[in-house]
Amino acid sequence: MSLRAEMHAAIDEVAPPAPTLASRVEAFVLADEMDRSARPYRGRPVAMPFRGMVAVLAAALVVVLMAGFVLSGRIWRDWNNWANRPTPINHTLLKQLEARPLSLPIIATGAGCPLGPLVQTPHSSGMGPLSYGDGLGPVYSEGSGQRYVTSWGTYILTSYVVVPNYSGLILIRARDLQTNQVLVFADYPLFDNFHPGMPTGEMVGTDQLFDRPVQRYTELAIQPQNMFRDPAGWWPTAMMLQGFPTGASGCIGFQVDGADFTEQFVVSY
Amino acid sequence: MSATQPRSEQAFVDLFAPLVEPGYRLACAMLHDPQAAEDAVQEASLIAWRKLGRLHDRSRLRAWYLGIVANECRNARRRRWATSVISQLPAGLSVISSEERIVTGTDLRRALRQLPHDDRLVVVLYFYLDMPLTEVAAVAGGTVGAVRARLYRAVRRLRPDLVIEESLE
Repeated sequence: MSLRAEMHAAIDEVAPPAPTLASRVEAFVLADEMDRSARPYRGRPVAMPFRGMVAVLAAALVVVLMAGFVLSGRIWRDWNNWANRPTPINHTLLKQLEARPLSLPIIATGAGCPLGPLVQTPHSSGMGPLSYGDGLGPVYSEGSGQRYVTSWGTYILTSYVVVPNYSGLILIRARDLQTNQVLVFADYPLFDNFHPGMPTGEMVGTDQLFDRPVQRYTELAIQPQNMFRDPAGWWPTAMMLQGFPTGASGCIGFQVDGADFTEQFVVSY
Repeated sequence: MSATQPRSEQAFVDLFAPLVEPGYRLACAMLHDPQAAEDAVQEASLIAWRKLGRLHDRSRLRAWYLGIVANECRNARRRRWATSVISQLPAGLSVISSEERIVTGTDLRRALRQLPHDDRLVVVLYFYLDMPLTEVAAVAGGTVGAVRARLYRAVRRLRPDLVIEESLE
């Protein structure tokens, strides 16, 4: 028997006649054809011709959104800066306050420091219910306990708190009551762009704190409108640096002047 | 008729009805499973009907269609192998074990299954569907010389002791 004959015999055993196969295949194929005709767009994405246009529109939308974010961010920043801009200082009034003479006493070396007055501040002042404030108001002072010593001298982080019903310009000046050296004021460098108070008067030197420059001034001007106001209703607060040079006694007399008041108190650092 | 012309039942009958039977025989020879062979022919017919517009030389319709059937058989075997345990030849049983061995149909089919797909295809087309080498080459893809060489090699693997009587012309 030839291989061809063997092949026929072997395969015919597993290839029974299928007389209806042609008609079944025809029905299967034509049914699929009819199904596809009934749904001409089956499998064809309708948006295919518009895919490029949609992609361009999507890209344009992304660009517009990004530009919108940038623009709105700038607008928000500008508006925020405008809304939170510091109230300009009335320089005429400042000059008038600066013109007031300092009437701080001079005490002899070795004499006791005439501290006070010291009052317990209400909780809503922002200094805490158990804190004490130097002064009789409307301005109180409270040292934070943070001291920074440099080759020049000592800086103390100090808060000034103003009663809420006062809104005018306030000038603060201070002297060491034994050495008559000027107490200097400076911005707290870690506040960056926040300036709750404005050191003014004469700039008497610079220093470095936290690797940032510190400029020393002889006076401090504050306005409640520009001071920190906690949403909880705390009193307007300005946290500033104040310093005295090495060799000062640390017995510091303060004179606080407003349009309609003058306040004095003495603190020992 | 082209791909853009309306297709009709008569067109399908005219073109493919004569090809379904050889396609089925080819599938049976490749798969040794009538049900799987019918499925392969059905799928191949659907593919051919959909892609008919791509066939520009209608004289090649038979070879083109059988090539699709052969490809569907390859896919069917892959699917079947992926989902079932392959039936291996028992140890000691070999179609090349003895010259005196009576080669039964079962043995030959087993031997065919051991051939690679392309080798099995040329053997089936030539020895079972009785196609000339030129058409075998058209279905399997390749030159007549390459198909002849493949056919000799396949037959040697299938029946090493067989004296090939056919001329392979």
